[in-house]
Amino acid sequence: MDQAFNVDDIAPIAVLIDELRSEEVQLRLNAIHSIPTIALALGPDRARNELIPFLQDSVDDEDEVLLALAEELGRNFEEYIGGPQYAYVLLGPLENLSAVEETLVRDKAAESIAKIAGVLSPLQVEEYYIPLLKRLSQGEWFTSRTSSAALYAPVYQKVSPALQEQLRKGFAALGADHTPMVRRAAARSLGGFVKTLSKQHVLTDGLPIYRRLHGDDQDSVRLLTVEDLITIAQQLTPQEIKEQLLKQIRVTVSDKSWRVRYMAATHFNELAEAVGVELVREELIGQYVQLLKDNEAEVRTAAAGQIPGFSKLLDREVILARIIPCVRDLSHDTSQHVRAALANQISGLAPLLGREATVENLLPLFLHLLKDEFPEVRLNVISKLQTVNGVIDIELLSGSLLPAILELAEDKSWRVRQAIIEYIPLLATQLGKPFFDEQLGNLCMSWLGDTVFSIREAATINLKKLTEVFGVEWARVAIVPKVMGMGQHPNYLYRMTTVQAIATISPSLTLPIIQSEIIGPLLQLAADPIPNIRFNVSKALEILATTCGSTAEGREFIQQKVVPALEQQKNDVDADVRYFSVRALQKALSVIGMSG
Amino acid sequence: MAAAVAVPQHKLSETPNSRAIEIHDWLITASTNSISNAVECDALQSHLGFSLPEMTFGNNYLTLEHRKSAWKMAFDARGALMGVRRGELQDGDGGVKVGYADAWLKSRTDPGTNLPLPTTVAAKPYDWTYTTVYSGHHPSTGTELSSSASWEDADPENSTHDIPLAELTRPDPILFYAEIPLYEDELHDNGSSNLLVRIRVMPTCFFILARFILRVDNVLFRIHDTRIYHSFSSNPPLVVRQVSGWEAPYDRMKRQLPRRNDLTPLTDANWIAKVLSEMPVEATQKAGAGTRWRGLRTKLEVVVLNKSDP
Amino acid sequence: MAVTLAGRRRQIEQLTRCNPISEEQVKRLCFKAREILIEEANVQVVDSPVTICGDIHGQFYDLMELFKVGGFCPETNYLFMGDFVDRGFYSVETFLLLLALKVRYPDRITLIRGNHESRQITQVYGFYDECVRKYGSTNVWRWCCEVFDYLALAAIVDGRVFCVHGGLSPNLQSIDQIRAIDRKQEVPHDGPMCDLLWSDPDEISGWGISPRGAGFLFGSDITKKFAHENAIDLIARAHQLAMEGYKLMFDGTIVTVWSAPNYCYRCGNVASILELDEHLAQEYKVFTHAPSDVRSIPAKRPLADYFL
Repeated sequence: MDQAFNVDDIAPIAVLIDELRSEEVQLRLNAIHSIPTIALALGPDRARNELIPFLQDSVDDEDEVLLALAEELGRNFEEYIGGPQYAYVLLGPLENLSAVEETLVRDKAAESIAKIAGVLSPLQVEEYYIPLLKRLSQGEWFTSRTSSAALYAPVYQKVSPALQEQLRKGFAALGADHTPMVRRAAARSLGGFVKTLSKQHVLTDGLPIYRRLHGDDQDSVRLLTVEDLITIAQQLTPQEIKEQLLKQIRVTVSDKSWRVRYMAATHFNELAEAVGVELVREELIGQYVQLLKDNEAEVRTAAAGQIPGFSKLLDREVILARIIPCVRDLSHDTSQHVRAALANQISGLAPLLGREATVENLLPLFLHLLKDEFPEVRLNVISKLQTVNGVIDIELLSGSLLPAILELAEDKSWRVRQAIIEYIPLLATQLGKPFFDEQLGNLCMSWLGDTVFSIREAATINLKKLTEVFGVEWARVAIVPKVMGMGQHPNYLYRMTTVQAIATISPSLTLPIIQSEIIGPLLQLAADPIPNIRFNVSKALEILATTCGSTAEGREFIQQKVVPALEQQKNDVDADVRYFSVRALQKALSVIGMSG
Repeated sequence: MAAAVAVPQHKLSETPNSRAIEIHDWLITASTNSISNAVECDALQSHLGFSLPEMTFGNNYLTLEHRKSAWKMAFDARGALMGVRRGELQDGDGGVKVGYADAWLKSRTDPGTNLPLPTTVAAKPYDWTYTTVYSGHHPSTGTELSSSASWEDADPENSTHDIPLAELTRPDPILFYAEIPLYEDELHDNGSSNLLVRIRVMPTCFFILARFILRVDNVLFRIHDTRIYHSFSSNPPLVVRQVSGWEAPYDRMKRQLPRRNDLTPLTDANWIAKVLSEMPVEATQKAGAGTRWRGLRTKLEVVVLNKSDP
Repeated sequence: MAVTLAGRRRQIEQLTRCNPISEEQVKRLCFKAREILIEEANVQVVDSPVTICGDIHGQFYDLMELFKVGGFCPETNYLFMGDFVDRGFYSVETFLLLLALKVRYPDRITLIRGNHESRQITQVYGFYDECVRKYGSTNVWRWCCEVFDYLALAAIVDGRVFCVHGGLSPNLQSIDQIRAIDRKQEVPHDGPMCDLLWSDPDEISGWGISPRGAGFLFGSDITKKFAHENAIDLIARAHQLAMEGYKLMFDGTIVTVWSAPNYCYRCGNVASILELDEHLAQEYKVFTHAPSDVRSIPAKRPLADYFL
């Protein structure tokens, strides 16, 4: 072979070229993802001088492939071409990519350019980046102008005051572009750009750009300025906000497009925090009430989501006078999505109102929402009830909420039943043993026979938690006999529940109870005709072995009762019974062996 | 930049399953619900006399009411399905069989087949593709003719007797928007039949597109579009309706695919509609898929709503 | 390399979170599944108790909902009557999870073939595209299709409940005749195997030909005769959407079970499963679709569009 001709020299790029010509997109994608490897093989100089120009000139492919390229070039690719001092070389191909039609590709390219900005020296920024930014910003097609908006903020603080002025002007031009897509991009990037400006320039440059976009005739532009408004407000004093932004806030909240109002409602708490307490009380409370009463259900839903957060900024009297009447209206809203959003938030008002006002104002609304025809609404109220517990006392709770809870315990939606079950241990703590036994005892047992598996499962976990609340002796009398009784049921689902309940509760019981009440019936079920019952017995025995292994009496119990049963099960006709019994047996033997 | 259009006074209202807008003299209501339950299906089925589409949204509707003239119009599944041929298909109905029907029958009827066809009863015949040329109905009477005002052929000389694309492509704010599916059927995995009504109410007009779209795998594509347009500034109030139907053989559409190996556009309603409506009329409205379906045409009609009518 | 039981369990856990497994794992899983399925009869014999399910169609989160209502495998025994894939967003995860369960617990879960378990149908209705999208190649789709060819055509519970995806065939009077079919092939366009996967019961008497020009309809008399001659109490089938989750016909001799709630994410229908206890008592458990906060349910209101 000719020594002067080294195959390794040409191969990587040739292979890449070849793969990029493949018919299969997947192969072309793989090729792009392999460019770091190829660059490594070429070495930094050739990667810079051959690979990058090739990528810049030759890659014109499907969006998916271009996206991959934009991404690869932003992954510290400068490391492969000689280090940060050569990072500017990557700007070439990325500039092309930031002008293509597909938004995803452009965004990714802009993201990669912004990353590269981070490693350029101030001189390189001026020499390479700023000209690129100018070209993109003044491009003939809106695509490149759109991409340019995100590229101002990364370099603004790196350049001279003279260039900074040019950048401010350049960005302002994007904000006044004749294409809505470009103005949208400007609105999206304005917040980030404003953050890099000095206070003075926020006022002289940032604000006018914002005002221009805020008054745009396209709602898709205006809605993006809500976040800009917040960012700018964060840079200003309350007095400046009052002078400079009050009009815009008012206009935004009452925008004729519901999508803009929706954005305002979604970000209302951020806005409130940015403008400060004084303006909230003087001004924003009125705007907020307006959003809670909006014509569009989407807007009301979004506004309802902000209720407790916004109310935290208000005095109790103001909440009562201004917010509560709206809450009352929303609890009767025609849209279930609004009611569901309210149900999710309403309990957050209780700590702000205190006991008396909660009882008077919120309790009736809880009861009303608990009867809502949509399960999601009921579910949201129940799952947040804990917040109320600290505020109202037990008599009231049991007197007014308990009837509603008892009704929901049999709700036709199993998720509502599940939410109620999960609330029971907390309720038990507050009600105390006698009251609980009388009111809720039977209910807790009836869930064990529910038609839905998840409810039966939740019911067994509930029994375990109740055992932890009321103690083992209570469990022995109140729970264990009923659970074991189900083990005789002719339907295997009940017998299965018995076995699974044993597995769940046993770790909370004592060895004497296990010996006297549990093991006998459980071992009977080890010979059940249904294999599923039998291998669940194996699993339960494994848990008993783990639970009882810590004392000598326990280990003796394992030796005498658990091990022989498993020895027998491991010869079962069913493969799954054999598998689970062998696993349990190993566990049981190791428990006895290790501790003995 | 064009000056923003003024948004007229209007009122939106909403119940869990329906939304309405009151604007100028109009009340427009769109209701979207789950598919009909078994009881509703049985009732509708016995009324129509054929098996319903797999997804029949029997409780969905779009209604328009012009209060001054009491003129009403509605779109619903019952109305649309009443336009589906019941009984033996005849000339003009555009009836088709599934792609492999001939092969299937041959395998059962060939002399010497080991799979003899059993004695079969004639299953109640109907157009299993649920093709309909339904273009809305007038709810008070159920027929078009006896309503307070009726449709007439558009005057080609009159420029208001048309649907102005420039106005509809202008990005004015959409005040009210709804998509109302009426029925959908996957034709037992032999394609897809679908009727969807959409409406948008703009500051200056409302616009409706009711689109029936049919794909029978390896056989054909078919579209029937009803477009309804009303300008709030028309005086006397005028409603324009354009009804069009197109058809093309499956293979011909397949040749239009942007990438030969990617069949996904064949299930994309927008792509199908674009390709079918842009192909030469000779192909899509004369030849079609050789079914001689009566829906292959474009027709423009108007109705004038007389304000003095009670 | 052999996969341990613990490895299989991890795989099941991963799939239960709707995370697809690697291409290499799919290859091994499909290979192992074929080994198990090849041993099964055309009419797989199943013992009660068992929970019978209809079409799933790639609605993974709704399958999770099904398990929450019916219990998880292996605690509950399952029989799925086909149409695991197509139309929903997660056919890959759905089928692979069921397959992983089959491989780990072959005695606890039975999978029979639906008309969508076919090369031709999956290329039109989504499974093929989904495989290519998620794995970047057609390998996974090809391996799954090879598994489809090995799936049983029917099942019989305690000799009394006959389960099949579509329905009966005029060329099959007895269950024994089904046992004679050579099933290891793509679903044919005609013949008895095609009928089992495609035909529908209808309010007619005798046999009818579908107005589509292919496929059979069968009436009450045919159904009752088949049940009587084969000493069957009930025929359970899937294949058709039932608004109430299930639909009993012909004096309770045949039932359609449908297990894809809010079918195609927009029908608003409920779904059901049929629990047969150890005495073959039937209990239909109806359930609704997974809560919308779970993932990937299209927005409640369509985005306004400047359609023309």
